[in-house]
Amino acid sequence: MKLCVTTATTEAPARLDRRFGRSPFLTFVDTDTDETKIEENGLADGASGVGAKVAQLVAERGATVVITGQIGPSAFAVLDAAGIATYTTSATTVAEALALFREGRLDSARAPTGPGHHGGSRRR
Amino acid sequence: MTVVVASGKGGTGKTTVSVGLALSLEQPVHLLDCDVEAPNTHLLLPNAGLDLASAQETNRCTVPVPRVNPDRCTGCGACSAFCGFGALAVVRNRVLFFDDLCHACGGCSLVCPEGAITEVPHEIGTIVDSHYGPIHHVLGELHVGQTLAPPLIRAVKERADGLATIIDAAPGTTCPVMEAARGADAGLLVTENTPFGLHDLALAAEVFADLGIPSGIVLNRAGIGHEDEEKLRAVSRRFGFPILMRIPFSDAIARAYAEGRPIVSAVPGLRTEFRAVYDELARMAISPSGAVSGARS
Repeated sequence: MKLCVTTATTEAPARLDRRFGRSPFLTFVDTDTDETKIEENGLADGASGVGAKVAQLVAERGATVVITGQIGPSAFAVLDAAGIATYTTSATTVAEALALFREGRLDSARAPTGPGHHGGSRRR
Repeated sequence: MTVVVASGKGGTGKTTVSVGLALSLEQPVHLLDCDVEAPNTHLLLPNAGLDLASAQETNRCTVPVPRVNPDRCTGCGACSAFCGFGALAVVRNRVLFFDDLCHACGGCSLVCPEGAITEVPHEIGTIVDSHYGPIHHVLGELHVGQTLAPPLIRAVKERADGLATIIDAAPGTTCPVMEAARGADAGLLVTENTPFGLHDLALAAEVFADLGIPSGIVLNRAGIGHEDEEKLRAVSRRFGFPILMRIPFSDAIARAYAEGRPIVSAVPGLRTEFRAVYDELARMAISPSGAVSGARS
């Protein structure tokens, strides 16, 4: 099983980024081999539609689980259509989030956690 | 001549000035409300309280958005890869479309190698036409939840046919303001003499200077804010945009506004001042040879 954790910083202990889509890094963990790969999120600074694009990228990487803090409607719809389960957490580090997931203590998100942003936080 | 009224900061009096100017011209004029996310010119016109739902002429504004024919689609992802706005996603060979992210550029239907994408109209707002004496009033209203203001603004502007035209733009310096201002002969920037007012005035002035639209400044609520007008004059000098009018901070004007009456009905003398502003803008917009200067496209 391949997990994707939205990641803010890479130096240990790597911090989890609560934002899906605009996190600067994505940590992919293969639970079968324990192989961990940190990928820079080249889409993070896009003007709009970032959530949906990153969701598609996560699907292309073959992940079946996403662990993040919050998720918007477009990204959720793409992950859902791709059969990817989304878990939300308030854990602050990637390691902590992974441990909670392995212990079965994370909540599965059945709906987006908030409305869309249409270009970051600058709404009018 | 087309005059676009903008401000930078919100709440400085764009609508007050737009409506005041239109009512003062005493000639046929188009008054275009291009603040389509929060149109409000109708509240200040003489028969305030225009019921938008039952207005004289209402038209639906649509933009073309993609519809994918699943029988033809192979899930190749060309549409999704092309879309710069994330409006199309392909997962498990299926295309997902998010209409609120689509900018209606039509690119996806062009790049689809299977001809699987056709365009269908998607309603984003309405356009209401009404008439008050010599004023032809056009108001665009974006539907709640829609984000694509520029196509609706373009549609509102298409209702004007070369008469004198006053455009009430949105606050800020974003795409909707640029779209409202594009092609105007002159600009009128409404400000107040406060730190926020002047800061955002400078941003708006920068936009209008870049667009090549000769502009003037209206100081509203003159008397509040800074002790003197030194900072205002500095912005005026920096961009070469003269201060054309000062609307006083007065009880009579505030009362009229609160009652939804145009300020020229409360202070009739303002009509002459608005006409002088218009004449000065006409002088700035038209070069001595008679050719229209500025950013005509």
